[in-house]
Amino acid sequence: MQELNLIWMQGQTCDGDSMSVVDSTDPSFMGFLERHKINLLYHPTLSPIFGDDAQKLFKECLEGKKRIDIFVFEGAVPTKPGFGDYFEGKDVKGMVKDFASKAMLTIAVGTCAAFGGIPSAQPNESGATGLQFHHHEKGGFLGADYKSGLGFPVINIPGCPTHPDWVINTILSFRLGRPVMLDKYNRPKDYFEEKVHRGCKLCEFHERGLWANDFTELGCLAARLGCKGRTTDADCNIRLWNNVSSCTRSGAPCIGCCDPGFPESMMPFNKETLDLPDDLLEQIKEREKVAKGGESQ
Amino acid sequence: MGKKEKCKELMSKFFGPATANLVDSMTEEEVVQKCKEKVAAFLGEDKAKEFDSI
Repeated sequence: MQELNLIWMQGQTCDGDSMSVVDSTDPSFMGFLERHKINLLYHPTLSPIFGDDAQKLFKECLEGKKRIDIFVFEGAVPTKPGFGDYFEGKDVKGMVKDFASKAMLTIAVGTCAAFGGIPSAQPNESGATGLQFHHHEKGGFLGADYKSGLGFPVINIPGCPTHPDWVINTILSFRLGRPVMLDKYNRPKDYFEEKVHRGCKLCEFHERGLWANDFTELGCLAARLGCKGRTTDADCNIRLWNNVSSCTRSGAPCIGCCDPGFPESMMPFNKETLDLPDDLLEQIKEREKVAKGGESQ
Repeated sequence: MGKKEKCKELMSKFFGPATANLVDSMTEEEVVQKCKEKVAAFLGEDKAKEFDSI
């Protein structure tokens, strides 16, 4: 099996997604790459090359002398002039466009890269946006019609930070030839089909309407503490973090960090969330109909 | 089933239905070779051999 080249670049980011992915233990990120013959061409933190050597590498990639099989981008794209003008005479926009046009697969890691995230919150002075989405709206920086060399749109793996399994398993699926199905926000369905609520250890309190009034009380965090687990798509409470826990399991309400509208649509984080949004109520009705033997539309 | 349909089936099997548009954008003459190259790059020659029967 021939080696795949992976290049990891960053825009407006706190480095949190890199930290999360590097913290993966089973397998470790570097161990995973080595085992599956994926050559990490460049990563801003992990690469031993920098300066002129790095610029030479980027040039070779863009001239087609080195293949870019997987282009991973972390952080939002600043679109207004004067922001992110640091890339050898180019700005972040030029760099993203160049690499994305050569890549067989483009993966947006973290909510900022996927949907704009924190940098795109008001007043958004840098014009930050996601690679192919701006919040819930398709388009983003690369445009709604962008397709990578394998025919995929930008694969969005949100999270603040993202879960290392989501990133590693998605890349692994492509390496092993397991089909990747995407949802309407181009997130892999394998990890974003369930709600955070599923698997939460506090579900029994939710069923009985026993709400925690503050962080030290035992009870469901949805009502008084604003947990967004019932409306946020992610398998946090099934997969768990570090194989041990999750936000809600450790007593912190879900703040909906995988939602395309995060953080603004989730604020204020402690607002009561007992009313379900209309689209979710529709989904529930649809599922009930199918369960009773009716047809799905 | 035409070459394109067969390639679409194989590409979907390996990568998922999102690759269907990519196959549609190729001509009948080039479709097998191009799909084979992409599969060989990601998954190796063994899996790419599945295109030999098309």
